[in-house]
Amino acid sequence: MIGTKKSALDLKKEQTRILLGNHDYNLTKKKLDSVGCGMCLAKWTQTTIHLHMGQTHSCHHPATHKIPLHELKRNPSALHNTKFKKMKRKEMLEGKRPAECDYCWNVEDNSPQFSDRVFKSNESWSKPYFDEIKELGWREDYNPKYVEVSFSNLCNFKCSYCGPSFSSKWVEEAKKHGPYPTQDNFNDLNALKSDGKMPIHHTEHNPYVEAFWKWWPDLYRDLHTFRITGGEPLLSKDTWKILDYIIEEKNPNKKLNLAINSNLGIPDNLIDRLIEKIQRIEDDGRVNEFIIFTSVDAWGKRAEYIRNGLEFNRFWDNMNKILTKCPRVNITVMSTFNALSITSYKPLVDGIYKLKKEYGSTDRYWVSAVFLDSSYLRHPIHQTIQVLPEGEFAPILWDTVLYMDYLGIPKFDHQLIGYSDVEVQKIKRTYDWMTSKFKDPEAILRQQRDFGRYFKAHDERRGTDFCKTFPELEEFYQFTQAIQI
Amino acid sequence: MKLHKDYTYLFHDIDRHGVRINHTTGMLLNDFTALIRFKPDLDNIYQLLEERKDDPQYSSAVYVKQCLFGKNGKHTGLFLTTFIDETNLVKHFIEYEWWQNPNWAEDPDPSKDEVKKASVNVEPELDGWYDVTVTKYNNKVTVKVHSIGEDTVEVNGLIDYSKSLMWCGSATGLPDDEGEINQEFQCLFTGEVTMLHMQEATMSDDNIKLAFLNYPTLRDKGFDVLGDAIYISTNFEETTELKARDYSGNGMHLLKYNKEWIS
Repeated sequence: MIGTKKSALDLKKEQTRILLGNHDYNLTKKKLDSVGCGMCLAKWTQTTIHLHMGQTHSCHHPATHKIPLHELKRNPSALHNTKFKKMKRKEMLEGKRPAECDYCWNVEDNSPQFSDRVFKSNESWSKPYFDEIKELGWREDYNPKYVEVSFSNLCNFKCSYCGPSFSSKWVEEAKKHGPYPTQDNFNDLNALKSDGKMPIHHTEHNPYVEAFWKWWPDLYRDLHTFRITGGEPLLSKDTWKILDYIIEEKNPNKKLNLAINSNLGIPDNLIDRLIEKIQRIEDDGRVNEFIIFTSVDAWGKRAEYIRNGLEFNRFWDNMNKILTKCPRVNITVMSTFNALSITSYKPLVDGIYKLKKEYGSTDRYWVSAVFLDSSYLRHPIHQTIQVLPEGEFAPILWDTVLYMDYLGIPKFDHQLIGYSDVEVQKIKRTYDWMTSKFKDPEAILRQQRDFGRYFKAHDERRGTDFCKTFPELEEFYQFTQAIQI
Repeated sequence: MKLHKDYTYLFHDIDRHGVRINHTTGMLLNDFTALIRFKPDLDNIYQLLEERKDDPQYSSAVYVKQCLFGKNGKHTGLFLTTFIDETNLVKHFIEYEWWQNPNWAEDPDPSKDEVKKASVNVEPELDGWYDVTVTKYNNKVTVKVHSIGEDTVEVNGLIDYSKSLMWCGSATGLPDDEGEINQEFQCLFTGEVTMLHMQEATMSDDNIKLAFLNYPTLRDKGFDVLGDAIYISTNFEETTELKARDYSGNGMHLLKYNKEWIS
């Protein structure tokens, strides 16, 4: 009886998916399901490797896991093809659902939506490889097509929501002052150590980076997308080594989509060096596209407060400089929308629109020179927009949504300059999340108390002045200081 | 904002991001208050009159009709109508025009639709800018041209405009039945518009006065887009190559018309 009910439910979901969806996704899901209900190509085709911590995962939903050093000795591709991951692949090929992929199982079991395993398996870096992966034994190594690596946590910034894993500046501060006085001891080095996520210092020998370079010549040939993250990648010699490799390679992989994250707050000589490398890569057509991912979450002094180390005007000048001197490159501004973003996001939307207008060109890899990719911060919770009083601050965010909608293009057309649907939808989604009804008032109050504790300590440690920087948030700040639980 | 044959706006219903509260369907059908400030281009009007004097099509009357805002079909909206009368004098009227069919329920025959208008005589040579309020409540339409005059006419059986598109600077951007694009059919307006506000709820006299005297103050007070069912509010101060910004919160930014939008 239960079995009958379940299949009726599955049928209903299938029908709804068909109604909702894209034929392509339906086909991909059917193909995946023909192998097993837990099959996902991303376990083979995609990887993020934190070389500075010796951690990896395929797809960003499962937690990262440690790369065993002994596996690397024989096989540098174990940076991706760990035994742990191979066991998950085995489960997938045998019709099981790996527990670490529960994000997707929750989606599939509780809604008619396609889960990310379908979307990721349908990507151009996954879909063409379905047959070869299906036939491959689970023990086999596989060169991923979409690779993200971080060589080091060396960084000249210590953004308020970041931490020691991704910023050496944060390590310095945490060593000096210890964790922040929040209920979860935000950025406690001891917790990192016990999780095996303490970064290897950039001056020390890193066996994971060593293995990467052994693997790279083979990996490079198969790559669809390669993205370097950090830390600040342009402070790492390995990033420059990658660029030089691509410049000097006699037979470059011209299908490669190359992306580099940078805070664009590095010394001028490094910006100039980056421009020179981009120009050489662009001029020789050595990649399919080159995108710089940078970050800013607010405007002016507010942005500088959030991203400690940022000089806003110099950052903006650097974007202009790159877009002027590199006529093909695109910049994506990744914005982690947090509680401190809300009151100055509109000028950021306006500023990026002006860049789109000034630099949009069909000569570029993408016509829109700049993209604004807004994602709302989830952790640490005390800095998320959900801690702010909704009645007072949600209208400000709504006004920003409307403004972005005003600057949006009326239909998808490469020739039109303005915000794309995706760019607007992501800020709309941020508003929806802020005003979500499913909030626990007691939990929010605890997070508001942490907000107050965090920024009080922040000002003391860093010599900043929250209320001077955010006068519009002073009343809320004072409220958080007075919370007694 | 200068409007002319190559620069008209569409009140579009492309709500790509789910921000819209009040949609174009109800515009001019439901009760409303509309405020507009505009200045016609007299040279354009006289040039058109001159061209039409010898055109046999205008043998019974030489006229120019320009639409400030309106819906297509059997055009309805606010027009500036200029004609040469029987004594050879040029006369101008600001008029709100609509089509109605009081007996539609018993006799649904479109050929029996009748045109109605509320009309105020004006003299653009002397007047300069026009501040106009149009209201439609309790089946009465009133056109008030501030400092000049007003007219009220009853509405009885407005025809169905719910499928029509809503325009600013023309009564339609679409070609006529023969596929021709011309001023007469489209009622293209040439001139300047510097304020446009439309809502379903009545507006207080103070707010109407404020809108014309100091629009930024009205705007900065904020709007009750839901409660007042506001469609749009703009002084055309912020525009892009594609849009004029709506400050009401309804997200009905005027979209510079391009035939691509409705293809």
